[in-house]
Amino acid sequence: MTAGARPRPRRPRGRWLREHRRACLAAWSALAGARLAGLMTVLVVAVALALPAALGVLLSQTAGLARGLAGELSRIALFLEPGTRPEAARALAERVAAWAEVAAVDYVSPKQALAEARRLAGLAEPLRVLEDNPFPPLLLVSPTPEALARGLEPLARRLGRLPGVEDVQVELVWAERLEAFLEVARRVLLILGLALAAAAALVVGNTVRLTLEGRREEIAVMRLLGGTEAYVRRPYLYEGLWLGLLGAMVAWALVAGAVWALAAPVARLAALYGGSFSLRPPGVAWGAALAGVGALLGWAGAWLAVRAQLRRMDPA
Amino acid sequence: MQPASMIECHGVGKRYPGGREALREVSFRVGPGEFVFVTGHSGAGKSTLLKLVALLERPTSGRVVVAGRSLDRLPRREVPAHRRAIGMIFQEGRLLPERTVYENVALPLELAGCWSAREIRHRVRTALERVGLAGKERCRPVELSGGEQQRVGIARAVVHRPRLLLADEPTGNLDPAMAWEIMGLFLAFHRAGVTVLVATHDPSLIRRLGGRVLTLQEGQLVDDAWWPVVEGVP
Ligand SMILES: Nc1ncnc2c1ncn2[C@@H]1O[C@H](COP(=O)(O)OP(=O)(O)O)[C@@H](O)[C@H]1O
Ligand SMILES: [Mg+2]
Repeated sequence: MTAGARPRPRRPRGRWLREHRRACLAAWSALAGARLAGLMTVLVVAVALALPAALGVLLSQTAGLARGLAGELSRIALFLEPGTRPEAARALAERVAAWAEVAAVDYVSPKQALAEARRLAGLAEPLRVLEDNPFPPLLLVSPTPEALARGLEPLARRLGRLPGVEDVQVELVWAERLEAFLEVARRVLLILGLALAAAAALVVGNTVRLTLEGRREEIAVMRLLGGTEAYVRRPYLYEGLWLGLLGAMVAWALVAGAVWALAAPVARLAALYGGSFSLRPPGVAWGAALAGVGALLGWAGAWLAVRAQLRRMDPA
Repeated sequence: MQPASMIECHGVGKRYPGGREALREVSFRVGPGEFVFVTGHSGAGKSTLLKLVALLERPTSGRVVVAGRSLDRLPRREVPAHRRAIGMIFQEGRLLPERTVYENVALPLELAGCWSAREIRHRVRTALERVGLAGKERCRPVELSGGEQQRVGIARAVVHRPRLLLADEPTGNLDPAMAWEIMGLFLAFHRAGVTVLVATHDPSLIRRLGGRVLTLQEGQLVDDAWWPVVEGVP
């Protein structure tokens, strides 16, 4: 206090809360007053948040399914000694199929292998000129999901010690490809999410700046009468928060709607492949997180817009 | 405890960005509880001087001291508190047109944020009664006459009971009877111990009251004197 020597009045309890309630409600009524601009902003924010959110939901729910599928495609190839008789190979296959870690064993005879290779375009000609069949008899061992989860190395070693087995190869190609693909998808999602989040914050900031522009005189008078920057800023920060929060809620509705619309066709598709996969709508915690992100983005966007503007408006 | 002087200006100069000098080497002292006029032609720098004291602008040279505190050492975050401690009546009125009379007058208390809703109601009522606007609480400024609007501005300036009141052309476009009434209000505040600084370009107003007068001319303080009361001024 510069000019006043008298004691300050006692600060009533709940002042902080009252201040924030005032700013929050003022922002809400300002929004309700500027319906169209506010609505457009909310929709833009909603779309910007819904896109990465929907992709995130899709990715998180399908990753497990895809891992299961890739696991089914992971096999161990047992190359038997050339000249192993089919009966011996089939006997070995039955023996291995009885192991706990093994789900199924397929026997591929050299004849079948040659036919398969011929079917592949580029190999037909060179193979025709070969007199002998170059393919060894082969057992394809599919591990159980549990064995797959523990890692295929021990099983492969055990298989390699069997009599008549010349070579063992673990075909993890699909699982590896899938993991690589998922990693790329996660990165893309992250980059997309960050870019769209920034866009949402900027859109909110711009809307708040326009509100601010229309209230120049009020802001100027508040500053002249000794309103602090925080006091003057607060309603606009809440406006940003409301815009972000509403945008996030609409985004959540969009994602839930998209999941709802996709659920039946996806279930039918899964059934055609013999699975029972179904898309689940995002949960409450998930919606709360999205709302939090939206509110935070709105607040941040408003903060950036308001700060620059207020500094410019007060010379002292 | 009262400070030795309420306002001190030491060689104060102000040059607006891109403009010419509004004040040059202005030095004076105003004691606590004094009633002082600032006069001079339009553009002489009266408003600028008041704005420097209220810290709405910063001087480009010299030093302003208010209630013993040097304003050039006041950090940015303490500027609002300084402004809130002063009552200021603006030349342009600066009432908020969308707000009622009550809300306009309550604004400084809301900004200070240290009064309860009940205290605010009591203080706003008291201030409006003092300026004779008790029945106009719910009006918007546009529904009021020029004199009434001016009085709303005064109520807003004194609602938080400042020790220093700065009035910039408070009788600007009012008829003499109305102007006299407004000056009566300032005298009442002065009698209650408030330091009052009134900027006016109208010498007849000063002659009717008499007192200490600072005269500015093209940004320079050319006179600091006691003017006698002249009877029979309209
Ligand atoms: N914000 C401003 N920017 C630039 N020049 C200004 C500003 N305010 C006042 N001036 C100039 O400063 C001088 C003094 O103005 P002012 O203090 O308003 O005088 P008075 O109140 O005595 O009429 C004038 O020449 C005016 O044009
Ligand atoms: Mg002026």
